[in-house]
Amino acid sequence: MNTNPPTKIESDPQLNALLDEALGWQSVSTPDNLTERIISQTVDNLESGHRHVVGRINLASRPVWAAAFAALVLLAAGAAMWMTIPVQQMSPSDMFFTWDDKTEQELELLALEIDELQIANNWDPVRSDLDQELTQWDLGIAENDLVTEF
Amino acid sequence: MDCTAPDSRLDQVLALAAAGNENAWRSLVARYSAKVFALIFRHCRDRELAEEVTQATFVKVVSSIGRYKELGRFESWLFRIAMNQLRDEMRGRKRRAVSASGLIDGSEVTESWLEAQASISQDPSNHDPFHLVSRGEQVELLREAVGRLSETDQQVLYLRHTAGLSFAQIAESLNQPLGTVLARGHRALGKLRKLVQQQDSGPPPHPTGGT
Repeated sequence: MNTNPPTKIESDPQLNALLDEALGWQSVSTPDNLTERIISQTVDNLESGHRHVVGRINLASRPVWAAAFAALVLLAAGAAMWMTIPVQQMSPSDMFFTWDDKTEQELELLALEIDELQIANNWDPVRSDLDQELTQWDLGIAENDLVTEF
Repeated sequence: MDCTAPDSRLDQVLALAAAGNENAWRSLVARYSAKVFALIFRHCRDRELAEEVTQATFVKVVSSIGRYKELGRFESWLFRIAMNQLRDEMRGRKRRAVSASGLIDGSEVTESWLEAQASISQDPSNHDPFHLVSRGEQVELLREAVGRLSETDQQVLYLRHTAGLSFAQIAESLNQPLGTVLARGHRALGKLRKLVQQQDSGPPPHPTGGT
């Protein structure tokens, strides 16, 4: 029996009463033990479903997961930065180095390259400070007889 | 169990069932299993199928009840699941619901068909289709007439009169606007009146004059 209040469209109370009687759930015979069968089939899911939902909610709210995620992000960022740092290679034309950091062999090679650059570029070693440094350096190398072999 | 228990009590039972309380779940099943079975049976007219779908409905409900939070809309949610389970089952079996009579391959009873049937009998005494038959016969006539309606019209009638939902709840269950559901219910009642009128009028009386 429909206990909901009638609406305006239900202007035929006789028809609606008959519909309640014809279609009402009470007029359908329910299978024996339907409720018990449903209970036996679902009661285990009730517990597991509840635990699953609770667990999922707890895991989602734990600060540990947030901290782990943040750490993972930082680690990934650090790895990305480390992998993308360019390897600096000293070029022969790079004058911004300390002599003391270089071995004699490295200085020797650099001197040769500088000579070649000077010749190729027609540098005047007197004109610029950098050139003066080059000149002094050349003199220094010459004084040490590093180029005598050449 | 008292099926007219106030909604506040239902909300309490739902909350307990959502928390895993077995007794609360039992009371829910006891309260709604017969209604769900009747609703499904009205649609498919197959007791075995109706039982399977009813069980599947509650399996679905129990797996989701922990997340159910829309207090006050449980019945709409429950019967929506039931209708969806039936639809899925019917699709899977590739079967069509067996109508009571007259419905050819699920075709809808149209207004033009009803008007054509109305022209068969012009007897004004048939304006009241129930005056000549007993109550039981009236009920059977009506059931047969409902079975000849379209599936969408049947849905509204079964949810209204079998499941006992309000039109607002029916709209929620079917995920349709309330106005659409009300219009459909109104049209279904109109079709029913005409169908019952035609069924009750029967064949035209033979002339009694001698020959």
